[in-house]
Amino acid sequence: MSASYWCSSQRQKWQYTRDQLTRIRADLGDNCNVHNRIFLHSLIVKLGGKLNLRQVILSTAEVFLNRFLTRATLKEVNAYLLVTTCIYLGCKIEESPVHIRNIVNESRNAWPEFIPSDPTKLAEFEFYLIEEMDCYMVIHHPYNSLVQIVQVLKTGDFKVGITSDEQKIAWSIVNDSYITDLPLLFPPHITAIAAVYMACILMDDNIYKNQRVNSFIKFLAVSNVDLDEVIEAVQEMLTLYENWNGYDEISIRNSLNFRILSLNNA
Amino acid sequence: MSNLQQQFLRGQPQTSSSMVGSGSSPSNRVGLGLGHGSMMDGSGPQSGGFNRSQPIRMAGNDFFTIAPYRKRKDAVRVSVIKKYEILGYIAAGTYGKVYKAKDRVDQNGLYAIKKFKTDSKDNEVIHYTGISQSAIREMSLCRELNHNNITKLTEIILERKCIYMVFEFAEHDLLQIIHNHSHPDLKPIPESTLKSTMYQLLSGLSYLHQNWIVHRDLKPANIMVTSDGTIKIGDLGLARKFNNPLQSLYAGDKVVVTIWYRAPELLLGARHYTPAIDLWAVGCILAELLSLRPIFKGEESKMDNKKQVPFQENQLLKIVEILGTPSSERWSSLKNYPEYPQLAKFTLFPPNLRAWYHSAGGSNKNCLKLLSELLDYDPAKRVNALNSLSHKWFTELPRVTDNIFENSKFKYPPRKIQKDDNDILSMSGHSHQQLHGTNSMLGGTGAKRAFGNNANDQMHMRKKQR
Repeated sequence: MSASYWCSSQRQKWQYTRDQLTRIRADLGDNCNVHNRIFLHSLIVKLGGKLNLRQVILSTAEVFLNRFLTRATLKEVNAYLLVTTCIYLGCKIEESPVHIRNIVNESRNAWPEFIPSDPTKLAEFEFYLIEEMDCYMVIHHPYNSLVQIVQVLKTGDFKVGITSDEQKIAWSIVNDSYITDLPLLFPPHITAIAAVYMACILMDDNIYKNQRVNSFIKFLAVSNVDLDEVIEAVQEMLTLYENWNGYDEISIRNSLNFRILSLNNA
Repeated sequence: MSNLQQQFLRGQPQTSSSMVGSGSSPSNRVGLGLGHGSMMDGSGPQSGGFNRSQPIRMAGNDFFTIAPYRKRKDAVRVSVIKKYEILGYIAAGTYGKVYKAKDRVDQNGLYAIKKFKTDSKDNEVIHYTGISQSAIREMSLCRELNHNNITKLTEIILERKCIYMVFEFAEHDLLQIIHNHSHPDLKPIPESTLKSTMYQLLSGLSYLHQNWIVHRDLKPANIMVTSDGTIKIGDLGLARKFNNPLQSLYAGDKVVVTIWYRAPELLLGARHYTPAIDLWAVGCILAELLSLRPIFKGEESKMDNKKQVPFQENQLLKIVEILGTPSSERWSSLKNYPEYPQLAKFTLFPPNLRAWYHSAGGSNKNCLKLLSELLDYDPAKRVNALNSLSHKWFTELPRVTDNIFENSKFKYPPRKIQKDDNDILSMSGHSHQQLHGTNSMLGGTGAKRAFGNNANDQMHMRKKQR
């Protein structure tokens, strides 16, 4: 079903437990650590910006990237072409197709030394990407849940007002969640709740804090969500931001580029 | 390291003139060979490289992409012909070809394998061109759907630059059944078959709409019927999700639905249409099952070369002749449609559906009521799929059955296949598919197409038949 996450292929075919993910990566010889993943995220944001794409398209592309990296490693493919392919397919799935030549040109403008001008290379990768995902391509995102949660919290039962600034922060946290394993681990509404929680409780130090915390906890209790999952999602995001502090883009880029060039000469 | 440096320098623009036409290096350079490709590629945006201390590196066409990964994947892929025995070819359309196949292990498992058309030359697909939006839609949506009245996708095989979608085989389709009841003489479809067909069709459609999917190409040729009498909605190549669209549905596809089944709001140029367009098409199908010929059989105006969508005057006229000229009282948003002024050209017609229904041999009042609710001009008032399922016609006798053939004395011939064309991997089929198509049409034996897609195909075929 494409309307409901609960009967979606995302839940039935592409959701893992943390143990499963750990095992998959051990078997694969994982080489995409969190700093690599932050770098790939920055590539998606960069190309998405150049093509002026909507956030949902980029988020879909990030999920494709996450899925692909559970089945293949960065030692096997050109990472720049990989992110380009994920975005190209994401545009189609979100019904906003971009001509293959446009995307190759923009991508080559951004990374001339790594993107060949021949569009058939991108088209070929698209084919393998779809195959690797076993043709499951419809993605459910936390954005709809985010909007709904904000609406529900506003109502008389909870009276938790969420400012537009806080909503923006929550939205950004959701965007960042794609760097982590959250899309592979939990239903999208868990990520949405975690993002709202972080945006208005963790970052809030005014005097109403206690009242909001209580109302929010009341909401969680009524909503029947899996609290352990929410806590785990919050922790995952905090770990990401902690890791981000130690992120050195230049050295990550250099090592990735060096690897691609060595593969090119192999 | 010298190797690396060589790579850095390869493809570096030699002169500023090579920058002219940058970003539009044609793909026909692809075939020039690995050794040269990179040298040809002076097309980069950063001519500023001349002022830099380090030259700009440009990836050549032989630059590393996915070689180790491709090698690993290609080594383990199981070919479609290893899994399936191809029994013959069923039909062709703009999308590609459909074959009938048997599972090599489970000999009872019959399948319709839809092979998407790709650019090909000399029996071999030469290069990847990017997968069509239609194929992406059908693959991604079919993967999510699971309902008894939607054709079931069992797997998708991607092999040698081609896509094969494997569906459960359906022995009949509504076009073929209608044909059987109209040739050589008219024999009305039994009410229990008619009603059960409509109920199952609306159940499948209701499921699609609840999943925020609008089909956009419902017509008899796209409604399959299995040998045990179950309706299966097929061909989701034009279907798409309509929740949170990033752009209007119109922007994605200017023309949707085969002309005879196209809703009036689409004919009037609606930019923002709704799933109600599918219910209009269902209304047309119900009328066709009753009278055994299309109710609104208009002539399609062809697109002119300016790529402007033409106003389908003749099609709208056919509708107006039976349903009467629409008015703002019956259809409140009528004046907001881009093509509304065109309606002034039409002479005024009174509503005539009741007379049409009786002349088509219809007698049941509730059936007429459902028909008029499906063919309501105003998409906002048109009955929706879910509500239609509790319509009076479906609750009264004869009862709706799971097998639409139950209590029917009619037998329908099995789907014809071309047994001499079973080379699913070969590309040559595409060139002589035309021949097969024409032969079968002249044979006048009815529907050959498991998955209709192209409006013209079906219309062309009907012209030959009648």
